[in-house]
Amino acid sequence: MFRYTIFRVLAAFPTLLLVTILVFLFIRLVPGDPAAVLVGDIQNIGRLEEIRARLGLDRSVPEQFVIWLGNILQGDFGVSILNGAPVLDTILSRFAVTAQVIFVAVTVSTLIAIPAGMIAAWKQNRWADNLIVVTTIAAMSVPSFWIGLTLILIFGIELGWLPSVGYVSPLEDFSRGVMYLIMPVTALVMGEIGGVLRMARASTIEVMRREYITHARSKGLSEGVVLARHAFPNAFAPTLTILGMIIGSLLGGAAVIETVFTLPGLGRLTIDAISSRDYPMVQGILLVVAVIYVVVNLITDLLYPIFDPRVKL
Amino acid sequence: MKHLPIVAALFGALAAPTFADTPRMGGTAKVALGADILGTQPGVVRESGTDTVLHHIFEGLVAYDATLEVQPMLAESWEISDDGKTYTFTLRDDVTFHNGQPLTSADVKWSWERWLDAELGWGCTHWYDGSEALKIEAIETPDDTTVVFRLNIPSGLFLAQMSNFQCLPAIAHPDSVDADGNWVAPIGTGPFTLGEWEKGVSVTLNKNPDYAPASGEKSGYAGQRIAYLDSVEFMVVPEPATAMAGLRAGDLHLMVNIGPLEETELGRAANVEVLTGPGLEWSTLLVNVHDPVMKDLDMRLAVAHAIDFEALAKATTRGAVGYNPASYSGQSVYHTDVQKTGYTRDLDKAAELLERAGYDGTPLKIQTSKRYGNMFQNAVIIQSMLAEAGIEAELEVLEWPAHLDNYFQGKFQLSSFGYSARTDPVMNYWSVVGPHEESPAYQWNNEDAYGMTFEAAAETDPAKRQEIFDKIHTMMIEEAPTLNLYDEVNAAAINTALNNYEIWPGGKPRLWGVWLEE
Repeated sequence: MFRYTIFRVLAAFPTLLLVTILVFLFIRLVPGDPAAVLVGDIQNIGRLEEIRARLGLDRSVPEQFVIWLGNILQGDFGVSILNGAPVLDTILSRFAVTAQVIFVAVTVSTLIAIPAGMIAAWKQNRWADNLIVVTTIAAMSVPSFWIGLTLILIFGIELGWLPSVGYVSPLEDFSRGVMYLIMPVTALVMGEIGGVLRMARASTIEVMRREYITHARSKGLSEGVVLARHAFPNAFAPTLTILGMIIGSLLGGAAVIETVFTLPGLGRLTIDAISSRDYPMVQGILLVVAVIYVVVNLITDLLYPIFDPRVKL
Repeated sequence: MKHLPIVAALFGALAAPTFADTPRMGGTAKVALGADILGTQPGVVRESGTDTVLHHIFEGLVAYDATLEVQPMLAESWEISDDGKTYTFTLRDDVTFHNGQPLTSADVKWSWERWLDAELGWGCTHWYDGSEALKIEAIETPDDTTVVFRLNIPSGLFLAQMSNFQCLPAIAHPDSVDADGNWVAPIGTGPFTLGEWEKGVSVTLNKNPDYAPASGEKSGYAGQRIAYLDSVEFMVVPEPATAMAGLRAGDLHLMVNIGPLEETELGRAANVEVLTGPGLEWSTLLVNVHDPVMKDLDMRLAVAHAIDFEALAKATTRGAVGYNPASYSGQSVYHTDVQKTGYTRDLDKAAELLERAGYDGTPLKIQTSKRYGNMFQNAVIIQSMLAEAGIEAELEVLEWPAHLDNYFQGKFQLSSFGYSARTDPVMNYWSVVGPHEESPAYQWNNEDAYGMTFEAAAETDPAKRQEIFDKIHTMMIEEAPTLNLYDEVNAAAINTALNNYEIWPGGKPRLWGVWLEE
């Protein structure tokens, strides 16, 4: 397992290098010039070239890449073109916000989806199964943007229970912070629960057909014990993979949710950076997101043998 | 409300004072900002929201009032020498900075020299360093309350530029920077001080308890800036739908720059009021005179005569404003009947012009984007109006940075565009007319007109300036290098708990002189 981990970590480097090259190229292929965005339409048009030179944008792309990569290797992600803020600090503080919301949302989703999925599988094709499946598909099918605004309309405006705009970190003021997290977490749970539930249901159905389940039942074990002790451990491994993928993709920023609920997260930072062509910021974010993906997938894989002893690393 | 005076008369002395007119002290007003501010150093890294916030912390020597005339702010008066080259400002003696230090002429000189330092990257050094025409040759401080600016030429523009919204030459205390000259904290003289800036979330400003207001009623950026509120929280709310919900829920009190869609929706909410008025930003259809098709004057005029400008303006602004053929706002004192003369729709004439231009029916391309104002709606309406005149046009909908970049590079045929607020016609024309080899962003490559803008810049007599602007406008209509559409509407929505909020042609929100109901 130790050797496997080392191998996986080393294998990540070529992936990351490829990501950096692609990101670097693609953001420059997108039309638009950060210097133009900075100058806007009020300032001296003559400053455009001067700003480009100051930002190093007048150099060739390979040259810019080598400089940037060299700095990254020394831990220097540079500063934002837009406001001069250090890229890495900004990303980390935004990531902290996204991570809070995501971990709460994924935990809640898991706690609901896995038992519900297993119940659905157990009662396959009966009304309970149908109810669970239809409800989750409905929740999954509604765009998160719409769910978000509807929650705000109901709980922010009509009932007035929850704040409609703003953000307070629960680390600073727990009770107030939680109030700001309820709606975004709910919207995320509604969007993500379906995938987890369906995987839990499908793998449980498959497991329930196995002979050891029949054996367990024939021993006279109650259905609850069969499900909890025999079905769950075997059905959980594939669900874990899905969870890993969901966490990985959401940590890159749940841009829509963050925008609707005014959360200062990584997704919104990405959108802002792209729309102002803030090259160092976009590059930094995508590199960090790539690292997160690699790490989350690695953790998922390392956890696999715990839930599925057949897998040897 | 109409009946209030009668009710008051009936009850005579028994009537309580009408609460709506009596300022209430205290409270925190919450204002939606579309994006976080970029910094706290005025004019250096800036965009509109950053300007808005910093205008509450900083003040200049002079400021625009609501009729767009320059009024005293930190200066109580000024004198211009007979040759027009020396401006002597007398400072108010009751002003202190947020750190308690009194305002002196040395602070004014220090601030100006900081902004004018080419290394700093302040946005508008080109207005004062001779790269356009005007150059500040010296800033002198004969005593603590007197500042003298010596210019290389007489200028009809100097005071207007000093009052500019985007490049306010703010008077800051030298302790705003550290020993190495790095900006550390915004120490100004304004009615609010910087409280907390929580990046990506909000900027909170607190009332400056020692504020000494200028004389005169609140008007535009001029007059008394009295803070009744304890604090103002500018909250970053990128999604307009969320901001609208916030207004209705009372979690926000003010949302500016709202579009027609938001206007309609918020108009229905009982506790939200929508305010509108003509502004200084203006919509245009840029016509690239270097494009192989559009370089033909007949072709440009054909497009001009195919468009019903009045109907276009009324449609996209919901009837708030009409056609403005000039490159500057109808609110300007220099906007007279001459500037109201533009093009009238005449499809026969358009057809005739098209034939003379030898137009072969190749579709024209209109670039547009959706981030600002009505650029997209204008493009759609123009497209259909052109179609009625037998000109097929295609829309190229870009993202704003790409649209803007193409504007700078002159890479378009037609472009549905808009310019941000400028307060003197010369500044407007300097964005439009200029030598093409210097920048393709100059839409109008006309040496005579360009020369005339410099005459107007140096001219201090309003009547003579008017004459020059009239000539430039007439030439521009003849050559059709760009087709101006209308003044953009300033629209803001307030939660009714916020009292006495007004909009003005400058469009910038002001949170002084307003108060919150309990």
